[in-house]
Amino acid sequence: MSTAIAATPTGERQRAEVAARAVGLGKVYGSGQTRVTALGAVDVEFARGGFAAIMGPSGSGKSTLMHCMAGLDTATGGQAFIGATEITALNDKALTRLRRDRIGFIFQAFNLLPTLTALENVTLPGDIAGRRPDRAWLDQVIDTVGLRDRLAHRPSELSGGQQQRVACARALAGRPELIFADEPTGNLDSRAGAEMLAFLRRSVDELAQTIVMVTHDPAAAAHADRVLFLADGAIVDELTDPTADAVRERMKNLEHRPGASAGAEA
Amino acid sequence: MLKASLRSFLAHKGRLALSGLAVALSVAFVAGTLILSDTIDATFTALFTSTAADVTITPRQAFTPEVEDAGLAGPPATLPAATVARVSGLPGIAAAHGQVSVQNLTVVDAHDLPVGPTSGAPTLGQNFYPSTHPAFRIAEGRAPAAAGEIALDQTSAAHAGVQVGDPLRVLTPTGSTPERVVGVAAFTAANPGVGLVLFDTPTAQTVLLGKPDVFTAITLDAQPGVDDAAVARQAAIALGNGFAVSTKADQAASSAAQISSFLDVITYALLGFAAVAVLVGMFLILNTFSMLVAARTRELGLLRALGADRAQVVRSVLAEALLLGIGGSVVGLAGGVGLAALITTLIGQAGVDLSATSLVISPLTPVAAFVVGIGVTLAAAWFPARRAARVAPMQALREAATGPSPSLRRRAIGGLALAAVGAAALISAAAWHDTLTTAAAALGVGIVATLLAAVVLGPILARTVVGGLGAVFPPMFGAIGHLSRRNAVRNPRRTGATAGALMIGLAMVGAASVLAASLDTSITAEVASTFGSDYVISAGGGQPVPADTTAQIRALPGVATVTRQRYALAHRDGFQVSLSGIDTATIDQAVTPQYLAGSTADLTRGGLMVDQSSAAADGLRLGSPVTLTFLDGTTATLPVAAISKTPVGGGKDGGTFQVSLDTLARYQPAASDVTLYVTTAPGAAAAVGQELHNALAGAPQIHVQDKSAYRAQTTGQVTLVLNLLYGLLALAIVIAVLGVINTLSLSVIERTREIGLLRAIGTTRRQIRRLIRLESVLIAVHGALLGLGLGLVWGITGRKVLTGYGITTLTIPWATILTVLAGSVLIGLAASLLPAYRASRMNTLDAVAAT
Repeated sequence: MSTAIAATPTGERQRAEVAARAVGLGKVYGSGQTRVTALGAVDVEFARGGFAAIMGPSGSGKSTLMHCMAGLDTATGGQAFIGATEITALNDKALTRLRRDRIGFIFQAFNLLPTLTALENVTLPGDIAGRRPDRAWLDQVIDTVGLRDRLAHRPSELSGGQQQRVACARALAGRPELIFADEPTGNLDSRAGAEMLAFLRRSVDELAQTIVMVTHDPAAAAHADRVLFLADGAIVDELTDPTADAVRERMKNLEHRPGASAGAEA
Repeated sequence: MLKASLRSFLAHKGRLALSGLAVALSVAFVAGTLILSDTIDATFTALFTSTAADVTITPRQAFTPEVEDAGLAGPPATLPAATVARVSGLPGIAAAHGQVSVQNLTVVDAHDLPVGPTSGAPTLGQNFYPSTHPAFRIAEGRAPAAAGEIALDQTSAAHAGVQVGDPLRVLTPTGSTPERVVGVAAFTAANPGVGLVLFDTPTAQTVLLGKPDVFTAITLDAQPGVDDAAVARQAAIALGNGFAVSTKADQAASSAAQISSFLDVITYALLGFAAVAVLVGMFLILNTFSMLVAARTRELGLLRALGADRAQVVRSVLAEALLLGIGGSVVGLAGGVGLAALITTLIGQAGVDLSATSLVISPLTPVAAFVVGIGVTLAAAWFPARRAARVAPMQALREAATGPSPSLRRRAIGGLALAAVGAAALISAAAWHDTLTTAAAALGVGIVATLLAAVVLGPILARTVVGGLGAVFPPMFGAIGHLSRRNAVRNPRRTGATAGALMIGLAMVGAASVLAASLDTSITAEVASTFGSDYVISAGGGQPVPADTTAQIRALPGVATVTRQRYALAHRDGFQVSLSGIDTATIDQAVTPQYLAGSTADLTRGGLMVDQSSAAADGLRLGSPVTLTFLDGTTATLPVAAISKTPVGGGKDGGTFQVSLDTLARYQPAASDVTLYVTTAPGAAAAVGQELHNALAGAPQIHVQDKSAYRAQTTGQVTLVLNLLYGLLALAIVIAVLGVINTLSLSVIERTREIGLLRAIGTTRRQIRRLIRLESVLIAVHGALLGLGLGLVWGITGRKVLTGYGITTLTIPWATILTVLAGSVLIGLAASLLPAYRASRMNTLDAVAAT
């Protein structure tokens, strides 16, 4: 609802195509002597229907950027938008609604509630919202991730890869405008990781999903359309149609940048 | 390892706080009870030693009647005034005083409102004389010196707003005398809670004893340096038989013993509740340590992997428990002192002034406090500690927060076995209700076994009952309801223990409510079926009605019959009995006969009636001889002529006996009328009621009761006891609620990541709060269901066992049961307030950022 954007014709066009956007987004911890800048003033846009990866060494602010853009954390400066909604202006209740109705999440670990079955975990956001599930879409998602024969299992009865697939199905089930994936392959072995990435790729290509993924694995980033590189809380580089080698090369440069050790993000 | 325990203790102090509070509350209850009883004991011992005369001489009595019955049988025993002269000249005696002391009087003010203790304690009437050991002194005004003058005790005067110069009336069985207050007396040591009216000696003799030349006792002051015992010996020799001579030490000891036996009942009752509180507290501690150990499984696994053996792991957990136990005991001991001080103040407001002695803390009290506090904590921590040590190191390192959950099969087998034993014991208890002691023992075994069974089966019951209860949640509360139900059963052991704490308190509430309701209906039924008279007339406090009352009532128009009931004090085999004499000509019209054998006519021939329970207990049949010992030492052997139903409440330990007035007069010639049953001519009941009120207007100590008033008075006592019981049980329930709060708080911490995940994917704060609330309600309702179920079983069995005590009708107070059940929902909601708030405020990022 930003008037600055809506005032120009290009703004209208932008709003239609951009799934998420940050304008001067910043996050500062502490004050005075102990002041630490996790995120400088970051400007970035994620296009609808795209698969973007955010890369950077630990402490670069990549998770902070994602958390602030997904409404999980509050920024200390600038604006973040999901579609046309400025999430930096929303209260907790509205943010919760937004996460529930418009965003999907896949985390590195502990994605599922241990007391619920796989199917119940998949339908959980809809159930919390009190929505009736779209059966046909749910079936399609379940088949896409290949969970048909595991629906009645509890998370403890599933492998790590299967658990992440359930998380993936959960994120897809609500047909969100955008899925944020935080190191989704971080806890998986390479085969399960590759499978997971293939699912994400297919959901972009076949189901027209938009995905923003934080990773530190160049091979994972290579599945994306576009890779953003973060260092010391700022976007320092970008790569389109990446290959694993190209990503690895850029990362090497980043890590050898002078003063690359600053940052407070875990 | 000790350092690790200490660090861990300090790190978890927030999580241990509620457990510590539970330990402290339990210990406070134990310590407070001990301090209170020691203090009361010391106060009264001090009172008796400081106020008893060196030597006291009384008419010899075969036994000491129970305090509340002292005035029942008529005027007190006296000795001739000339006896004073017989001892006053003996060597070694400084002074001999004739003493008048009675407790069969009532004091009213100008508006006929009673002056004196409202607690049911008696008002003593005494003569005032100077003494070297005065029990009271004149604090205001002067001592009474002539007829028509009295001094009143300070407490009664203050309560009734009586001042020096005010007119009062003193009502005794022999009449009513107008008096003027000339002084206010204060107890020198402690006021034991009684009222006191002082007269000059001649007035006391005429007004209180009806004769100018008798006393109830003689007190002797020994000359300085003369041994009390020597004086007593001399007096005994001089007086011969027929007198009881006791020294100050004897008096103090026997009075203290009397007080102590009464206090012991209170002390044991309070300690019983303390035990319940301790038991409930154990559940809380058990749960806390289970959860702390579960959260530290990884840490303990690491210690094991680094070479710590099982015993060391157990010790490290127990060391933490020890610290908690010590801390809780210290706080609890202080709390106990506070509790005792509080109760002392409350007792003081009821008229018993204990302020003369400061609180007495015997060396045993802190020992008991620490033994209970530390013992309970260590015992409760032992199980989780052992479980933690059993985990293989690598398993512990792999599994984050989930401890091993051993199969519940052994538990099921053990629990069902206990339940079977309990059920068998309860059924036996019900079947053996004819012999009370056996039945009571079986009932005790049954209660303990079923309680243990419920505790052992707790986790299994939690899974099934909570699962079943929670089935209503998903349709009502959607996904949140579904989740809360799953959460409540995910750790059945924990849910079982949390609900178990609530179960214990509510089981006792349930059992008590069944017994009370049954007693109430039994009394109502008995009154309805036996109360044939229109009015019952009696004086309060176990006193006879004034001598002329009976004739006065007989003369009223419309009165058909007046049936008198008198009492004699007697012992049988060392136990006091209730022995009354009745007008055999009219008793059957006033009280519907309840004879199982024999009839009223058989009593006129000199036999006695015995109640069914006593008859069954001692194998008495028609014609069996019963030997009774009276106060003056005479004995009588009378044949059983009739057997009747046992009155509600069971009566005295020695049994309830009834004879004809003629028979009673043979052994207790001075007995006065205590109860009058009045029947009226047809249609005259209302008019007679009015006549009675008019006729008895000048005697406010006399109560005229019709059927409903009589019933209300009897059941009112039950209500009072029940309310007291509920008040004490409330403590156990408070501890149980702390347990629910504790479990939920620790669960919330344990589920930080789950809650964070739920928040991340769009669960609102309000929904998170509801999630915790619903789980809490499930646990509370589960505990209430188990508790009330157990309580019903105990109450129903207990009622059957007490059939012999006259509780003949079973009534289940469904309204109370349902109210408690509904209350458990509120308990659940209240317990969830804090944990739910904390959960809803949890940082979403903690969950998703944690690895």
